Amino acid sequence: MNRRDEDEFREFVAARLDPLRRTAYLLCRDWHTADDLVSITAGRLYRHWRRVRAADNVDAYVRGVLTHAWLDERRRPWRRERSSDDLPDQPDPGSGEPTLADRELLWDLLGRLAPRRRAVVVLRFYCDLSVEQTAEILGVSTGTVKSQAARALEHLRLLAGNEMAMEYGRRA
Amino acid sequence: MTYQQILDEAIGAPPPPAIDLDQIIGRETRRARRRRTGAYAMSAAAVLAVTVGGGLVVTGGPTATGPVIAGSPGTSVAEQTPEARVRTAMLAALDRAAPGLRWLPGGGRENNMAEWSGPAVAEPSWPVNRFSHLSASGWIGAGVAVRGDVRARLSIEISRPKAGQPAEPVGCRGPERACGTSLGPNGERIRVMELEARYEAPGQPVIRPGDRTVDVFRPDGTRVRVDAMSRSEEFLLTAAEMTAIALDPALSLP
Repeated sequence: MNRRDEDEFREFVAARLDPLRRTAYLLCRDWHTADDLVSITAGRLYRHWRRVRAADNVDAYVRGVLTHAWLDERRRPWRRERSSDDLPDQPDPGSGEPTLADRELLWDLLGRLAPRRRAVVVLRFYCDLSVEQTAEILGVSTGTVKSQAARALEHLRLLAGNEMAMEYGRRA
Repeated sequence: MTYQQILDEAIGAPPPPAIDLDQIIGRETRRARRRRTGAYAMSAAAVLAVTVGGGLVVTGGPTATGPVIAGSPGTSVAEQTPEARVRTAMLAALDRAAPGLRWLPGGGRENNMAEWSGPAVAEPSWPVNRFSHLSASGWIGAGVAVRGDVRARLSIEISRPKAGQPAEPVGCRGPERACGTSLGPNGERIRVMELEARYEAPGQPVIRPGDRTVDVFRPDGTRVRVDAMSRSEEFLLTAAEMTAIALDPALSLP
């Protein structure tokens, strides 16, 4: 890579560092790991910089590299997260805006989603990628993306619509 | 409120990034250089093989003279320095028993937990040093290993008592959090100890870091010690993994 390409690469990564870190954090829920994932992603982008620049949608491409970096990391045995059937603590339903308890609950819910379903949520609703782009990155059909997103949203909608109290009332 | 806003709220304020672009670029540049060098070496080897093959077919004819290959980048084990041999054996043992460990780059920060931040890399620096105490001498290698969310100082020590010095007792000493002994497949005596430790990071509550040591005492007097001390309460490696590393026959004094 010549100097000009390298400068371009630096600018590219610097401009996207914050959103990439936040996306990685949503996927892995740990800042150390998030920074590791972004570093891995940056390394892969550097390695294939000409291919990256030629991509139709560079940002979707980059998020794909990041998502695969995370999915690859998760395949290592010690990355397997424990699932839990315990219900989270009941949040404070008094406020229209998400409260700290809401955020913690959302965080907890995200953590309980299976990895690929979590990736669907992050790519679709945080990175704002289309169903088709999400499907291409994850190597699944658009129908799978839609169904996984719908199931995940059943939980997330509770927060967005402040229906938490009703839901917990039904569970109680 | 959009889902993006809700998720951004959930993320909160990120800590300062621990991503070093210079380091990433340097690593990738070295990697590309290694690949190129490897490709050239393979090409040269292929040319040599073809030439030698031709020489075998033309039996009795003029001796085929292959190209002169100057200095292959690969160095055989026999040609390595003792330090390099020990290092290679230690890293191979780690890779066999606990594949996929990642590492904090750079040496010299193993003994300061406050410096155990930043992105991990695939290649350890793993400096190896010779040591000599009053009663024993040997080699020690160490690095800060990363596995999932756990970061720990990991070291391997290979030593032997000096002439006339008594061997170290194998039993448990008493003050450990947990300790057990067993026998290895080739007569080795194995001791696994979980040690009591406390660590307080600035502004953080005191934790009891996961600190485990596995000693393998071989019948020939060699002792291999694998030690891992985490920055959190979780252990970096299981006792079985650490024992497998310590039992690795490749770990020997040069």
